[in-house]
Amino acid sequence: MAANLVFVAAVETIGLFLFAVLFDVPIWHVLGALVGVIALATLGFIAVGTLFSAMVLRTRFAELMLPVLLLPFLMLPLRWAVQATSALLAARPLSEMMGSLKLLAAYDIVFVTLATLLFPSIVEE
Amino acid sequence: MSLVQKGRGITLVGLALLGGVYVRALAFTPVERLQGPAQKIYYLHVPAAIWTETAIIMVGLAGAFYLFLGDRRLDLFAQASAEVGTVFATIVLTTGPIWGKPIWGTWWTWDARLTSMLLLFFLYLGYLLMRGAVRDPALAARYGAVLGICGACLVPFIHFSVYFFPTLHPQPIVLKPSTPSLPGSMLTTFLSSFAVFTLLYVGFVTQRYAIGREKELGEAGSHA
Repeated sequence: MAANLVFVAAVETIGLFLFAVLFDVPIWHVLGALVGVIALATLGFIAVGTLFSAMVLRTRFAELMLPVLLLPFLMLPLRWAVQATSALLAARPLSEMMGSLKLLAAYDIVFVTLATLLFPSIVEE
Repeated sequence: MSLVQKGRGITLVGLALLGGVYVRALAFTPVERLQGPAQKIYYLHVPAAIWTETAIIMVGLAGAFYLFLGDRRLDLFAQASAEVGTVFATIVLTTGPIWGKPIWGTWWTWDARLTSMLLLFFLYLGYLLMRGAVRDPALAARYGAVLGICGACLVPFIHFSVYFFPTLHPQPIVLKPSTPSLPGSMLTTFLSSFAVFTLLYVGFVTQRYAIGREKELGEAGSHA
């Protein structure tokens, strides 16, 4: 899971930099908070993604199966992250993004715990 | 009487009662003032939605117990519940647009509630596809249990996320912290419909479980 997290974080860093440069969006004044939102959103889906990728390795059509399984688990944190990021970039008050941040935090706690507990059931022979 | 026949009996009783519920809904329940006759679809849509969410929770519970106990019957139950849940999700996603067209003027909108129900449908499809993509039945059961547990834990997020964001979809009027705001006669029709859907869930799951069990016992007998 840590390896996946590092890989996705590297891709996100490049993506964030390109987004700021190509779309000319001033992100530097909210960079800390933006990184926090991205980290919250990434952690949960990396946990589920790692669990499911270990699972699909031994299925037929593994490459096809992973996105199919992951889609319902990916859309919710993505939606909450988009809402929190939009509010952040539009300099809206913190109260407007609290709903999304709380849901992201709850999602992370639930799915990181689940992935840790369930991973042995996936890999045992 | 075999379990399949019992399940079939329960399903047939449920289907007959569903007809009765709709006679009551159309002829003996008042027409809603703002929505008109389109509101009648509520008595089909909402119980199906409740059982769509409940069915995946059942899959998760059965999966959790399966991982601890390793009892094949729990896996068969989880599989049956997932298949019935898929049918109920299809009912919800079909009846919703039929109601939405006259009320909202559109069949579909990417609203929080609608999209989350579609995600639940995809979750069921993913579960069924994954079960079919694993050859070893023991491995499929274990993977199914893991996916079922994750799916059951996703349901509260799907259900409650709509409270945090603006939505076109009507807010719950029965399943909410305060008392139901549905008038008495409509509430009676709704509760009857919910009871009938419970019966249909039990009937369908019993049949599917019994068929799966007979198939497994047959395969075990042919290998012996």
